[in-house]
Amino acid sequence: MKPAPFEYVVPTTLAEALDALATPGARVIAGGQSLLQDLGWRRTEASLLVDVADLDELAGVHDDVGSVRIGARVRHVDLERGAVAGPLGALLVATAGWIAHPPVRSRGTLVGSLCFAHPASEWCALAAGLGGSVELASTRGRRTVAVGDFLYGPHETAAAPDELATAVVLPRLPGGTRVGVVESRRTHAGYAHVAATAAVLPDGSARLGLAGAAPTGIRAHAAEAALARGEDPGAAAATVDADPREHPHAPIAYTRHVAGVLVRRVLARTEEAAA
Amino acid sequence: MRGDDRLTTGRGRYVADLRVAGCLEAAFVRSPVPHADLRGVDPTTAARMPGVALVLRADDLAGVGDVPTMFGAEDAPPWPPLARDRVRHEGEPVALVVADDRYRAEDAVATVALDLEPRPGRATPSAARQARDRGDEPLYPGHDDLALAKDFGPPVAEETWRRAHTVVDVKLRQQLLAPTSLEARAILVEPDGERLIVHCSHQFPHGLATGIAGAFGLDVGIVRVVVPDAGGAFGSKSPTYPEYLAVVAAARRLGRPVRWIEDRTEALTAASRGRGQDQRVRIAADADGRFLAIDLQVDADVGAHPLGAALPGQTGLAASEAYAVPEVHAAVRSWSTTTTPTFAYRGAGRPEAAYAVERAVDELAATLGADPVELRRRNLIRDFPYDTPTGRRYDSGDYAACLDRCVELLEPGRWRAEQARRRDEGGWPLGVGIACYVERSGGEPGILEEYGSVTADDGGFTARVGTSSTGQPHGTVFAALVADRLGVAAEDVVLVEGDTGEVPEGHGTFASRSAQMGGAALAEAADALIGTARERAAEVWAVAVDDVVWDKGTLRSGTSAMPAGELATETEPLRAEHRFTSPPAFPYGSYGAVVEVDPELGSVHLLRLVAVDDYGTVLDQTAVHGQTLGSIAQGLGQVLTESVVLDDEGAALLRDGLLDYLLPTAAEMPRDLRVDETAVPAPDNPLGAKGAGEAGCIGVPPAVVNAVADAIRSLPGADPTRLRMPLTPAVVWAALGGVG
Repeated sequence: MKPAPFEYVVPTTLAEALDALATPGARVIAGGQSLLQDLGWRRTEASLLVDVADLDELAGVHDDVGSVRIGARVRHVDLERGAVAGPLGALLVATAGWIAHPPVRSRGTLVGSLCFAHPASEWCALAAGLGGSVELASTRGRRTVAVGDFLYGPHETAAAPDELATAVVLPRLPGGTRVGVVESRRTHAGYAHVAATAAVLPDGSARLGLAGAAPTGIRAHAAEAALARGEDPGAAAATVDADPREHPHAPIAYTRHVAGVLVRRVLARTEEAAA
Repeated sequence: MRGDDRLTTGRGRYVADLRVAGCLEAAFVRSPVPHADLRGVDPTTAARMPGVALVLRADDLAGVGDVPTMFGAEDAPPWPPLARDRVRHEGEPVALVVADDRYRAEDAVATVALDLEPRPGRATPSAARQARDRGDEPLYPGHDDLALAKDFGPPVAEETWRRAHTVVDVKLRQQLLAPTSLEARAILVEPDGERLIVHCSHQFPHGLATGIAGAFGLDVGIVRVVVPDAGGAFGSKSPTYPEYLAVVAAARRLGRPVRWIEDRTEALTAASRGRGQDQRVRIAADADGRFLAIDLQVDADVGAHPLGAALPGQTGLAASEAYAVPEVHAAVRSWSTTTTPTFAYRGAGRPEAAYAVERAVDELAATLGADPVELRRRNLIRDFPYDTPTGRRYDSGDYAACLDRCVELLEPGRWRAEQARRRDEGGWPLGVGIACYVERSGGEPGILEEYGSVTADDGGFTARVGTSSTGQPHGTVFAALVADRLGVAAEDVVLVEGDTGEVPEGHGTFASRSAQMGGAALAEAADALIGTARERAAEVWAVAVDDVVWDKGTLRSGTSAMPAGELATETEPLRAEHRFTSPPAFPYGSYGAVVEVDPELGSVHLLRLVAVDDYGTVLDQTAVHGQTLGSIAQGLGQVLTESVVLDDEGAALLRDGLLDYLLPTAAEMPRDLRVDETAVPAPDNPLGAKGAGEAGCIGVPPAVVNAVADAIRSLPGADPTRLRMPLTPAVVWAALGGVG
């Protein structure tokens, strides 16, 4: 489990970083909690690792009107400790606690998780469910891609090889929004089998995210619509939103069923964030 | 402070920590597929890579003998250390690269091209049986795919089944497990002229020395195996593995030290696995619930080499479990499959037997409408020694007292009331499960002996023993044991083990044998040392031996007094040896579990777990408690989360390593865990000790599955016989009647 040889740079400006990423075979490294493992397994390649640790532009959480911009250097543990205020922050706190275990959370990042695009990633579910977007930069320019378009499939995203995801932008949730996250999982430290995140707005409408129920994290549009119609959102999630793949410990029919159960449960268990 | 605190505070020194000047690092080229003809191995590029010292293929090992099987079949097919013209399991070693560091070794490994022509795999015993029935070419030409078949006990008379009031017939599966010690396999071979010093994380150093000497045609005396600290083994580190022979060959060829540290990915694909049995068990009972007969049929996955083909015999031998049953028969068949070899894993055949019998006993209780505890109590063995129909002689015990204590701690009455309340008022289904077991410790004929010696010199006392710690606190327990015999302070005794250059013979540490066999050998050697010292002092002082007393390490006679070390220095070394032999011992226990089941998701939540074991006389409570907790954790792993899932060809579906192969952690241990012991001394052991290493692995799985079966049995649409280990939520959901 030793990686093939690679070069390593730690640029101090975004321009330097983007120049470095324009090198064929270059890859971004943030927390490295997934990338280093894949390099060790030699199932992904990198001739150059561009470490974003010193890029000030990628640090911190920034409030905008109606949205919150979370920089690519913000770690799971920062969100777990309440880096974001309000109902959105409460949802981030609740979700971060499910991710891996504390040593991983102290290095890994939210944006890094989106770029790794694991099907069972809680952050992918949350960001897709809230209708967030990812900011991408390269020497060719900047663009913003909706998370639903950014996540292509397992470990596949819309980011080009030379693009750096600098931040994720999530919508601010109004006061009185109830939030929650529930999971099915087999051990505390493994991946989720299925996770469901929910934000129920004061008007009663919901933003639902699902992980592990499809090749990527998804927004459960059908479940949201069913809820709005007064129908069973679980049934809609299981039969319409979920698109699971066979798993050694979870047949497709079971995963669909779990997606439905968890959507019902997360809606039943949402809580109002403390002021 | 205990001597073993060193290991739990990160100060252990393992094979990977050894600093040996000029040491090279090895990495293996392994088969990516389970079964194929190997038409070519092209090492040209690898040999030219920077830092590469050597690439070895099968052709380069022409003079090296076969890998020795340990508990194998008599008709063992050839097993070259590097696959020659065919690969028969995923991860089988095909070539070895030696380089100046592990990174460069792996870079070179990545360039070795294999020309493979795939063949169909046979991943399971039933696939192997079908291939044999069809007359397919066997896995090894000229060798039967049924590697071993053996019966234990006379067959149950047809009449018995006919006249029985009730017969239950249960089919079960023991999944394949990965032993997964914290430290995987590790070896460092130092050539020293003609001699070899082999540092290896190993349970059986004398066996490894013999294995290496045999394969290379060397005198065993020139192979010194030294076991430094070892990070766990669980049975998997006692063979002479093919990788070890390849590393020895490389070190000898280069005349330089070579080290191989197995990584986690290799350990999960290429290291031996445990369990792996298809089981059918039938129990016949009369109207009073007395067991008339047990019949156990086992079809075991041996893997691609019959390294442990005879091990499932342990399951057959154990088929009586804790019950006085007039007729008990087991038939064990070991099948060659295109999977990584199956070998010993903590419990090694006894968990499989306990699971089969205890699951069937609960199905019988359900059929009879009997209380599972009462049904067991009615059938427990009460008189000892007890000869089972399968050929075991149980030494001692009070099985009923152990079960009673378990029931006391489990409080089934309280939980049954809660179960009824939930059935009436709603709530997650709750279940209570119980399981009894009898296991065997110490080993089998051939290893039912152990060497111990105690030496006195002016530095104190040195105890030598043929066991070999892989993390167990032998240094603490054995030093205290010898010190206690000698009446000296524990810090005056140093333990030496795991070094064939220091200990002349030994059978190592497995089968829960170290305290029982090694401890007894040391106790007897310490007693013998006192006798030798008294005789020596009597000579020196010209008095009768009876006039010399041993007083806390000092010899006294009248006004004369001399510490033992001084006596040794002034005369000649004082040393006493003992070779202890005895029949095996039979520890036993009763386990109880209370679970609730999430009826929508199928997930199992442990509300209480009770373990009451009888290890005979306990030498060191801390050590034994640790063994109990660790084996309980591994039992929980088997019953709830762990499984090597294979595809149809025999390749493991473990893409993400330990994120797919889910080990229990501290967070998975039940909060309400009640552990107790009874202690009926072992009659054949001078210390009264029985083995204490494997209990939880044996007792936990049937207790938990029985509890889940109890929880769901009365639910509409549920079928407890569909429960399979591991009890993943999907499995339990299906048993609940979920459609999938």
